[in-house]
Amino acid sequence: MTTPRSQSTAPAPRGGSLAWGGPALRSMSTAPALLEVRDLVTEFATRDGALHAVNGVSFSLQPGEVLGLVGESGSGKSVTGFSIMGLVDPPGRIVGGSVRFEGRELVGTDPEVMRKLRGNRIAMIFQDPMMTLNPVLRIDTQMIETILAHERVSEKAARERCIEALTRVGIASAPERLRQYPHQFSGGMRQRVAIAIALLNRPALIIADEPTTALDVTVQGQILHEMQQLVREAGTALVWITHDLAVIAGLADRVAVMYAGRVVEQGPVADVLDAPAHHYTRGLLDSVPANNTRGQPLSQIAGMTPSLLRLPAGCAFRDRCAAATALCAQPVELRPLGPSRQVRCVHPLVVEALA
Amino acid sequence: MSAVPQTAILVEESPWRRFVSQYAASKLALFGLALLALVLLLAVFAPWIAPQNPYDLGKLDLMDARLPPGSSSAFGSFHYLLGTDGQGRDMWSAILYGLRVSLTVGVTSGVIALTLGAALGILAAYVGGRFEQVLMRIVDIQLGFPAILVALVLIATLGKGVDKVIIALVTVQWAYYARTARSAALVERHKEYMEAARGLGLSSARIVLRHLLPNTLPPLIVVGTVQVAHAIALEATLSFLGLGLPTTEPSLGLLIANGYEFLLSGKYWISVYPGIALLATILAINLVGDQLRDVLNPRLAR
Repeated sequence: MTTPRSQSTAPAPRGGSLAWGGPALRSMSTAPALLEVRDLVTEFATRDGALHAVNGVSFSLQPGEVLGLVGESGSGKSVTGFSIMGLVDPPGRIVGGSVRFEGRELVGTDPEVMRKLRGNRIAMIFQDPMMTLNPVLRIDTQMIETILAHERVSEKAARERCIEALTRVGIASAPERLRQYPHQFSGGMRQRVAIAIALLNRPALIIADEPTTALDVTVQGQILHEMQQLVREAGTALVWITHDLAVIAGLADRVAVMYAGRVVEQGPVADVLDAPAHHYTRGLLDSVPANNTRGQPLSQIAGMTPSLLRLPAGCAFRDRCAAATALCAQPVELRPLGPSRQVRCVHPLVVEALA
Repeated sequence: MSAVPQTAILVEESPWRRFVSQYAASKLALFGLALLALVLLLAVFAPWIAPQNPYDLGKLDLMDARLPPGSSSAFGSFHYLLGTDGQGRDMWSAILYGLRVSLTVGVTSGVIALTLGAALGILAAYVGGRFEQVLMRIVDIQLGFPAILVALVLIATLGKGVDKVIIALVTVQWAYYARTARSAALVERHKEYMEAARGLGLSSARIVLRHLLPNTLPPLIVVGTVQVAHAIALEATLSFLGLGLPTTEPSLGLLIANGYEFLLSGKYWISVYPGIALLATILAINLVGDQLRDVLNPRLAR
């Protein structure tokens, strides 16, 4: 399933201050989803009781599709990523829901099966490139072991593939760089190495947990551009976890906005960012400094994220929402909004379907 | 994107060279290293350096007993540099051989205790749960007892002998290594590269051995040097109390004990020179260990 991402820039109604160069609307096909997350619940046992970091998250991903998972700190987006990978450590555990990957249920599956999937069919890229490479092992050691953990190939063949992978992510003189230690690489270079490692076994899905947050803006731009090309060439699906809406705007096909452990809105990136239906998404967009007027105080969402231990019944955002009514205290489901969008709000900003 | 200047990064000093230059920054540490090297050389080459084989009773002459330093043998022209002990044994030779025994026992028990303690400590940190709880409580209990008491009880039950002393020393010391290894491994375990290693689908054995273990080594090396010095001192104490090594294999502690009774009658050399050798050995190891701690501790680095 290959959808050419035409760069037909939909005219940005908000003055175009943020380049919502939205990818084309993806036709909703009936092809089996690569990843299907349904009602995922991950909780952490704390002294004050069970904390639901992920509280019924559902989304699906087609092969080759790029999904932006957006939310502020503590909204559960990283834990969602770790839950898919089966890397939630005690005191955290997945207590409900299902994660189907390539038709196979991952929740509750044998740890050895999960281990074989990790780094092979599903790869992960982490936030801090300074920390994701083992400081005492050379790059070649770390790359080759990734191949050998999943395949029986000669070390020579594995090394060839490592050189190829490093070259692909734009690292010059790869054979020499392979013999170096992580401390001999700059931050951007290390993140390129991490991306190269993630791509080594040609995974069907990459989960990227804020991989550009720790990099400076120019390097961030380069990495984003490369990442976009790499996944498009390889047909790899990507879940890009971030709090940076600008990144999502340029990179993702679809976006899922998370708040307090739930997806509050999801849909094609251009639709959601141009015309958000949920008041939280609206607030997020208004908080982007580029959307504010010079000299005016930056707008922000009033109040604070509720404690995940004491979530109000109904809409978790209602205490901070200007449009909240008594109706919002009732449990809210994720409702369809048009053919490709969903929103968890009883007073959505966009009422009628676009189609 | 490949236009990023990479040559500048390539020219960077290797970690090893940086380590050497940081270590050499302290004159005292260099002195300690030189002293340690000297002690080690003397111990290793004792059979070739020593003028006399102190274990060969046929070579000893009771007529030469308790001669002061610098005197010559009553028969022949043998020169006793540091005097003789109660059996007419050349003290210089006895010290060289004693050094050998002391270092062997100290280092052997240190290595065994390090291996055992580090394995248990790292496993505790990695596995966690009840295993960790039980193990660390055992460590706490172990560290609650005075080392000398534990060693005495063990020697009393097991009997004398080099192997028994090593068992006693390992029993006393493994807990230090286990505690250090666990705390180091706990810190490393929650670093992102460990998560990344799991994310790559590496096996647990590989993660522990290739990723976790090397990163916990620096603090273990530091504890190791200090604990080897402790082991040597403890062995000397046991030998001094007559509970350590057999008299056929005199360590420094036993030599000190042999001269103890003559100390007040002015024959100081039988105890004092082995004592100086022991002191120099422990001092050298501690000086090296202190500097290693400073160099390997990232928090002290500027």
